[in-house]
Amino acid sequence: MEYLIVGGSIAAASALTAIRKNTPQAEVRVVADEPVPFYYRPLIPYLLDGSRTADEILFAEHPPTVLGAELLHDQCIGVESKQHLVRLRSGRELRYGKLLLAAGGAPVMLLDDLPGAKSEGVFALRSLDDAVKIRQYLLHCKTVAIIGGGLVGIKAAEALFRAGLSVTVIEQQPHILALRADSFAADAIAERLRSKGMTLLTEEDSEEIVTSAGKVNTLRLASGRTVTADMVILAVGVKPNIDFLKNAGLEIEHGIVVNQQMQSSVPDIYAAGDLIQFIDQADGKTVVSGLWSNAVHSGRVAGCCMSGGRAVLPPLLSVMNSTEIAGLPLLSAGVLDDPQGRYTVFAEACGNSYRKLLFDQNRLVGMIFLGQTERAGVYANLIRCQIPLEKSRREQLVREVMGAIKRV
Amino acid sequence: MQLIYVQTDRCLGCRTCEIQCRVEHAEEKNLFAAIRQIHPPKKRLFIEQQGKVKAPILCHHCDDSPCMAACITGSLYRDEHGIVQRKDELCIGCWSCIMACPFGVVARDADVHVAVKCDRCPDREIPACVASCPTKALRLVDADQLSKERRQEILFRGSSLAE
Repeated sequence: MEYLIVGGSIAAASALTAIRKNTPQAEVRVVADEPVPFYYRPLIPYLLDGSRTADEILFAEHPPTVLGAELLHDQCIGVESKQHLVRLRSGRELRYGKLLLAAGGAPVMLLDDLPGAKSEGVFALRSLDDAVKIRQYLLHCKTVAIIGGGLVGIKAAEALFRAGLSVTVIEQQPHILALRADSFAADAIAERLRSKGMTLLTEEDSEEIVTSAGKVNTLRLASGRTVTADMVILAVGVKPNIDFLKNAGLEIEHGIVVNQQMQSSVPDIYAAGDLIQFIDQADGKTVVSGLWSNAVHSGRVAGCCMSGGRAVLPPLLSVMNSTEIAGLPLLSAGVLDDPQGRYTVFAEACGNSYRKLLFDQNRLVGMIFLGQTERAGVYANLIRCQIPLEKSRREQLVREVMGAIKRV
Repeated sequence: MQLIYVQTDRCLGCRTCEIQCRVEHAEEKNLFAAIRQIHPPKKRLFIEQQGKVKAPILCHHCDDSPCMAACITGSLYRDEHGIVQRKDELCIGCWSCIMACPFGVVARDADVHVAVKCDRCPDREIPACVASCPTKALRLVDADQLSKERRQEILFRGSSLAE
């Protein structure tokens, strides 16, 4: 049995590890389109200011080498499921016994029709290569505009600010970090970023990237405002990388539809990582998400099931994020806001700390911790595993979280 | 593999284990130096109380460890003894492991900006918490040995009833 993995990041690595546990001898091939060894993708913003070098964010042990798999740096452009065949950019065709699709996400290029988006000095930030290019280019820059105030945008903004650039972030939504925080937490973070000297513009749309001598010069916004920028970074978001699967006959909605064993609707094809859709345990919606830990779990389950083992996908959340921004930890999971008044919400703020819990009847469905991290995992796992809580338990939880802004 | 076994009926909640955990993770391993350290060491186990039951809650070094799955830098790894360890220099303080741990036993050391967790005291044969527990509520046991002990206990109870 030959295994073929399409993808070169953590879902592929965990799947490979799982396959090797079950079948030490089987032939495994990995097709990865980035011409670099496996690396920790969430760390690429740290390359921008040089706080990490490219070598420092590589996996300590390169999975294909350690686990004995053949690695091809090539791009998969099509899957012929009937012939069990995969077409590659180089023209090569590979046969497979079982195929795992773990090609991850691709940056949203909503802005392709933005005038000037193709000019010199406009970058996306998704791969190691992107980060290296930005790092080289920023030596000639004094100002940078970042389109998109999500996690990647803000992380990039902080790194470029540390590198000494004057930074402007442009966000369409009324507040930054729309998917990771509610308006209160986002505003508190925005306030801290502004006080450091960054410019954050919300409810602004980019209209045109103005160039001079072929290079980025100014960003013009829909409101008529202009932002001077020697460099523009597009951090609008990520979508599942599934365009190459158009003719494969897979069932695809938001992402690839898979069962609990990560099997797609086509026999012998499995999928894992950022390109699958799953049910969010907090609100029951079908979602895709780009969370590292979800990719680890889905990759492991796919690898195990492909190679004859038994595993089921654990309950997952689409929001289960933790990060540190402007010196404040921000941990959020599940449902973060309640515009329709569906949930019972408890929130408390004091100094730099903010905590919020959202209950749906007898279940905790959402949490935000800003400035404090204490026991966050306990609450996140109550949400993830949909643990029913009695009234007394809920009251105790609220007392624990709200009463104790600083526990020693 | 060896486990730290907690007998909750023996725990008084005296927090000796917490103190000794901090001391063990101080630069110089004594109490007086530890409290005078610029950034005092953080504890890696936590005495909690529910009703009348008190017990230290500590890292289980889970087989399928959620903290390792969540670590985005490769800082967390499993060593040759099966213990989940952390490489200090790789930790960026993103707190993903704190978010992932269902037991809440990964803590944030805000002073030095790294996550801290139980490392089973690599410099000692018996971990500091176990060695210091005055009531022997904490014990370092072999998992198989523990099952055997429990079976013997049941047998002992049965035989004393028969008499």
